[in-house]
Amino acid sequence: MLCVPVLTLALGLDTKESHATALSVMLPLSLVSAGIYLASGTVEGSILIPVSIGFVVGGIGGALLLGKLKNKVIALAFSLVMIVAGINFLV
Amino acid sequence: MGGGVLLIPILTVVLSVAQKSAQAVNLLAFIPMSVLALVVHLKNKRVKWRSVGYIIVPAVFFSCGGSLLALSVSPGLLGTCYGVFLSLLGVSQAVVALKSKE
Repeated sequence: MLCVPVLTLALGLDTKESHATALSVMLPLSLVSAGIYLASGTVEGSILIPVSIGFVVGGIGGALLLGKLKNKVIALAFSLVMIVAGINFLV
Repeated sequence: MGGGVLLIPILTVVLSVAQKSAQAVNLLAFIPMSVLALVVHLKNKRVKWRSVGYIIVPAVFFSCGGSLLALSVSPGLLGTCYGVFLSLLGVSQAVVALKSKE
């Protein structure tokens, strides 16, 4: 959530480059966190596999769509997700 | 995490999965997804590696610091602060997006 605005505002990347670059930042950090989770507890495989499949389909679709949408549309959609996520934490 | 905006409420509220399990699944499922999405982005040459370096080093420091801080703050307060911050950030980003020409 923070990575994309930092890349666009502080480092001057355009919207599409920010979203793509943000993934490269998040992947190693997530691997570290995931390692800690796996080391400290069990994960329900029955949920993990269907969710992973859904995420992969959505993720690839999103990555392909990124090239076809206007920057303004991407930025608005992302800010909407941020607002929904923020409200989610408040209620 | 940002990606869990829909998934975590669906798992916890609709499917009655425990919060920690939902978070773990969200995190783990993110990995194969991001690897494959990244392949698409790399093919389209959208990843700027120099920027990755500028972000990832401070990100590691702030993550560690943030995690330690989070342990000493009440979960309720943490959630509220994060919710307010994220909502404000979302609104400001929407304003910037609406004002932009492309």
